[in-house]
Amino acid sequence: MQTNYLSHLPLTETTFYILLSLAPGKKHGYAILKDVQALSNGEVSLSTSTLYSALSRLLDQGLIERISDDPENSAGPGLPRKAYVLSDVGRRVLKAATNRMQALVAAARLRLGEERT
Amino acid sequence: MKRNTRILGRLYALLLNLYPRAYRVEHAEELQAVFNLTVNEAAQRGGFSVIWMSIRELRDLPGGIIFEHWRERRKQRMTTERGSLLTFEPGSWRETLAAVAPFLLLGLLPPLLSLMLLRALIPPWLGIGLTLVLAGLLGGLFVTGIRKGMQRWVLPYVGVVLSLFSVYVFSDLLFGLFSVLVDRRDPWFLRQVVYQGKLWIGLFVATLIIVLVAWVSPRWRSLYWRIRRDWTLLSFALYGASLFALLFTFDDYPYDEPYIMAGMVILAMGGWFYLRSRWLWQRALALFTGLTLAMAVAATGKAVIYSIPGWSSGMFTWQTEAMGTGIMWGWLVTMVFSPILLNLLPRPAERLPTE
Repeated sequence: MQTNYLSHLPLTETTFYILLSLAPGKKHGYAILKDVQALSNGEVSLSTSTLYSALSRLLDQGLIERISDDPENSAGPGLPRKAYVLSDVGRRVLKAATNRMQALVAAARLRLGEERT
Repeated sequence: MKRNTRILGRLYALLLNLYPRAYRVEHAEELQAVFNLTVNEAAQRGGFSVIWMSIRELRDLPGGIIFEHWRERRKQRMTTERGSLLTFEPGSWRETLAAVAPFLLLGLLPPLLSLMLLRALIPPWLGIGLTLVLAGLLGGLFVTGIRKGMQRWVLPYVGVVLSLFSVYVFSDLLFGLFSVLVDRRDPWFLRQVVYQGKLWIGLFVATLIIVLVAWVSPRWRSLYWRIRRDWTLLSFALYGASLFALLFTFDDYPYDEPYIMAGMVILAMGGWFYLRSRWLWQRALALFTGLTLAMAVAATGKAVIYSIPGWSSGMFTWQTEAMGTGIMWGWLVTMVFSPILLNLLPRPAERLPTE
């Protein structure tokens, strides 16, 4: 099964941030948009079409799931009644991507440290 | 500013029409809502923010539209490859077992019961009780299958009902046809062909009625589209008629239990291989082999039983009796295989649930 998770790697920056945004719990499209911007310190500012293309692809890949949300639960008027959650596979892929990046960073730090000395 | 944001919202709604239909059905409402919120938020920060946001949206939109069209085409191609003209989704073990249950239950239990009753191994009331349980079980399965939208496994049950309609209702409507088409001076073989045709042609008519009802009735429309995508489903339903045909061919015959049991097991195996096969030729071969071997067993059985001294009336010979079953096989094979040929027509495109 691990091979299946690895087949999703490496994640693009946008995908990684979207999955990361959904890690704490369900979110609407607009909330994801804002959260991605916040998580990336404003460096990744997604347009609506880019966001939904990514969400649609992630739905097809089974990394996220779409759920109907109670309109009364909605964060505000005009917000769509559909929310997105991370699937089990999505969570494992996100963890695998994080581990992969950690290994990359560790390797880079080690090499850069060696170069300095 | 509010007017401007409204205009932007309408413009965006127009542009959304450029996305593929399936994508629009799935996401357009959300896209529009998120866009409106983004515009409103930008408007609060000032005109420059709205311009910057609009440029970003307009920059990404064409790429998104092209990407979704490409993805839609790719999905369609993959669906076509998976469900190509000559391949089908094999049934699960559970589905297959439910489909062949009438062949096995009706083939094996009644002869065993009659044997046990004959040898007084069980009291008559228990025999009647077990027969009622069997009838209730099969009837319950039939009703369940129909209520669940006439799933694939229930089709042989439908075939049994259709064969009853064909032999006991429709053939009576054609009462005059037999005498119009043939008379006593015609060869025996020709008379048998017409007589058997009169019995079984109703199967074809009933099947056509089912397809028509499924076509016009919204409740059964999904069945119609399933048939259009896989005409062998009709063949499988007609294959169910062979169960009744096997019992019917042994009407009034004694000592027929071993042949009926063997025939039913063969028919069950044919149905089993039909549902478990992926390719059209495998499915066609499964039905043809099941039907042919079962009828061969029946013809052989009739020939053997007819030769038992002191039983037959002497009006016919074992050859004519076996030949009658052979002609019946010919009619059933023709009817079962006619829908299979329709699979060579192009399959309809997948319908969206909203259509």
